[in-house]
Amino acid sequence: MLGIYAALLAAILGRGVIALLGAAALAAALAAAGRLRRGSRTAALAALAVCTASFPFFVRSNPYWNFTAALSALYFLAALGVNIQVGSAGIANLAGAAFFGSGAYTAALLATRLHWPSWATVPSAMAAAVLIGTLLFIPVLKTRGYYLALVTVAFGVVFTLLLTNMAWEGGPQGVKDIPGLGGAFDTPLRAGPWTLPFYARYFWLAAAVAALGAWAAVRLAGSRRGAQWNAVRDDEIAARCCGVDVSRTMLGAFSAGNAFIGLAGGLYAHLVGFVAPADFNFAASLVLLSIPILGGLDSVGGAVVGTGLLIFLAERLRSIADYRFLITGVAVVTILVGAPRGLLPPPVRRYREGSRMRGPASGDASGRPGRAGGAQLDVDSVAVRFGGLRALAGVTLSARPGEVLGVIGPNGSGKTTLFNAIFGLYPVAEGRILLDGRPVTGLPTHRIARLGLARTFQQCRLLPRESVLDNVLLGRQDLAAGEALSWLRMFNPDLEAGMYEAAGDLTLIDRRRIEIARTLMGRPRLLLLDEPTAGLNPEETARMIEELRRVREALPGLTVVIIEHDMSVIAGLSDRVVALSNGRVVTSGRFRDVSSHPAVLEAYLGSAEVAL
Amino acid sequence: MGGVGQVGVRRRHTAPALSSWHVLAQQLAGAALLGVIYALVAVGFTLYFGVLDVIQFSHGDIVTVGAFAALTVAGATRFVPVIFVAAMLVTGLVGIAFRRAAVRPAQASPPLTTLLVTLGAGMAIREAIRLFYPLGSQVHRFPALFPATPVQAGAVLLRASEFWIAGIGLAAIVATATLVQRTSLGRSIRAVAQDREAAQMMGVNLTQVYDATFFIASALAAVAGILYGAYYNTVTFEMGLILGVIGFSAAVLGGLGNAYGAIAGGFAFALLETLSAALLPAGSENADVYAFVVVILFLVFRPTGILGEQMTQRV
Repeated sequence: MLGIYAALLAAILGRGVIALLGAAALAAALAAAGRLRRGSRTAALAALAVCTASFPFFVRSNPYWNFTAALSALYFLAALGVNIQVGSAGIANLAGAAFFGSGAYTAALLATRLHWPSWATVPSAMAAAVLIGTLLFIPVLKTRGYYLALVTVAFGVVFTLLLTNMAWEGGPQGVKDIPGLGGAFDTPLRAGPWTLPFYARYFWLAAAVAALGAWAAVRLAGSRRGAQWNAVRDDEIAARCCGVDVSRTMLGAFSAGNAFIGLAGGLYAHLVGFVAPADFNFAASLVLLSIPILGGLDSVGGAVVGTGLLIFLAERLRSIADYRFLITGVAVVTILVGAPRGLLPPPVRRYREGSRMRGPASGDASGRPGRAGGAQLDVDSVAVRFGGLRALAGVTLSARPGEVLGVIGPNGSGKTTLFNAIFGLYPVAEGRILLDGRPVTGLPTHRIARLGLARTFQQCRLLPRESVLDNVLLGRQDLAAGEALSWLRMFNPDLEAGMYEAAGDLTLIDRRRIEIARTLMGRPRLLLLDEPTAGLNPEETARMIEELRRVREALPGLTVVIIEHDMSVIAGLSDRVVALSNGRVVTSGRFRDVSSHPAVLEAYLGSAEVAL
Repeated sequence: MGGVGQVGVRRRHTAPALSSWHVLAQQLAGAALLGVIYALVAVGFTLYFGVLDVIQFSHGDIVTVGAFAALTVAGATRFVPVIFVAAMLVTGLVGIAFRRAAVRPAQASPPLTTLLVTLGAGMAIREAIRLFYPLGSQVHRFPALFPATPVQAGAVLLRASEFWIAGIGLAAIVATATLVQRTSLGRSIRAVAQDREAAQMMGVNLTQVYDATFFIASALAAVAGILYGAYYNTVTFEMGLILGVIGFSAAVLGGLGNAYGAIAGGFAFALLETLSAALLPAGSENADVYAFVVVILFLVFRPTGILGEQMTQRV
């Protein structure tokens, strides 16, 4: 793979030294994408460092190449930021160039008007991009999805128009004569017998900053934070139910990305010495966005490949330079449709085999510190309405600490609605929900989860592309891989062995087990299980009952509320049963009494009679 | 960074005014005309979102396709109905091809992917027009399809062409509403918008409905493109960029998925632009700036749009 890419690049670039640089960059990209072993990785990075350091010497007669190489490094840095936003967190930032421009203009104006030194303008550029991004994010805190796309597009249009129409910052002509970084940066460099163009220093600086940025991006992507960004991108509801503050996580990713973009913009202003509104328009944003798409969204290595491809299109194929946007557009569609994960997809997040990985020695999960026993749940005359439909019409029930409460009822009786109401996913129109006597009604879902609530979903909500281990770890904010593995081991030793496999590829019962393990990671005091055996065959159902018993033995104080259609599960697990019908509690008590209660029989069978 | 020219600033001269009341009336008439064009674009966004659950981010570029198709046909004939029908047909077919090539393969992917696909496709369409249409990168004069005779309508002095623009735009909207509300195809479209699986179980052919949706929305975009050309007298390969953003904003203003909301949103956006231009400092060149700022603020306070988004959250 590496060889193919390197040969391709060498053939394309044609120039020995540039081919070498490209090959080294590619090797580094593969390293960043986790494709190389440790030794090869070190070698690749060392090769890149040597090539980068010596590059200006090979093209010393050509300031243009030094300049272009520096510019490429800055585009790469900005693309890393866009990649964090779009690739890792799924935030549609369609105004990357405008944020880049915010940084560039900030640095340009501070340098030309206030004569700030460059060590102050560049951080200010970074701060400006982050600040503007945060302000823009406020409108979308309450809403989701396409609105950020709209807000960023609108911002991009407003940004270009305003800069064009206002006069004080230069209007359409922009800001000219921006000083360089100052000091030694703006004099030619004499090194022994060679004289290098002053752009060489810019290139080294840009390359160093880009390398630092890539390192930071790799670290971020591999961290718990990176995993949360992915969770927010792939399944917001599951993330919220695991205690992830989606708004804050998204704002964090957006700001982190804008920091990269703003930094690149600030350096750009000093490198190019000239900024104009037309450089930061929507088309430029699209180009910036296409870099991570081509290379592979959420992949730092992909951003290297994407930058390389675009620079190559723009600089090397001058004969067809006019076609580069057309080619880029077609390539974006082709990649997204044909290979949505890009040319160099992100690596599986691997954790070091350290102490955190081993965790508690035994597979037995009991006796863990900080376990606070079970919680008391009180649902007090809760009503939930959808328009005119009353999904819950005054439900009152309680689950005592350590108890397993079964909830039964025909389809549409409001069981899952009850869970969603408890978790704050549906607004409660009337009544209160109390956890240990404390009202939780109206709290955001992640806050409710952090009080010690955890749940599974009727349709398993795992992150299908993420690894088994990452899915389980999502249940907790810190990295507790040891605990995660001990739970996996308890359910199915194969899951521990396959901890780096994609969760979406597993069988239903294994996905259920992962989901339950995920809930246990949060050290819950109240566990809501929504039909844990739906879709399982009788043998698997029996196994699931057995495994849930073991969970209960491991966590004796845990309060459990379980929704089931399968009466053998309810009979086998629950201490007490509540029957719902048409959004009301029909009866409650011991399983034997409830299951023979005439109202329950009517609710289940009465409808059957009507159907006959 | 990129070398493509910026989003054009659209200017238009109104007749010299007599009094402030006349000025206002004149401007409101202008807003109504623009509103018709924006509404035509916004309805497309809302149709795509309602029926296919996608944001077709290159819908603005489909408008451009329509305008250039009309420009081409107008080179051969000046018979206006032929220009409209031919441009609508061509653009509708481009819409179907667009769906099959770009949207369908990505429809099962996460919404973000679909959005990015349509963005990339829009870029390709724009560039294709720039590169392959004769002198595509230049501003093209759009032929005067309608007579420019001045007409005094109460306090407002309009040109006959402007009545044609408003009339044709409204007729297209009414025709679409009739199609969706009264025909069996329209019933299928509404059924899919309401519940895709149920509609499929009742024997609705999804491919047909999706293609029809793209055809209708793209044909409407062609109408918008022609009316835009007739109104501003010029068309460019990147006119769709800003029209797309405005159309999307209008659809969101009205509540995504809500067709009447989209129409209201189109008029609301045009009104915002016109009032900004008339009343705010440096308004005439910054009309879009003010309008977009209002859209962003609007999202803070009423995120579901004027008439409410047709939204279901499934857990």
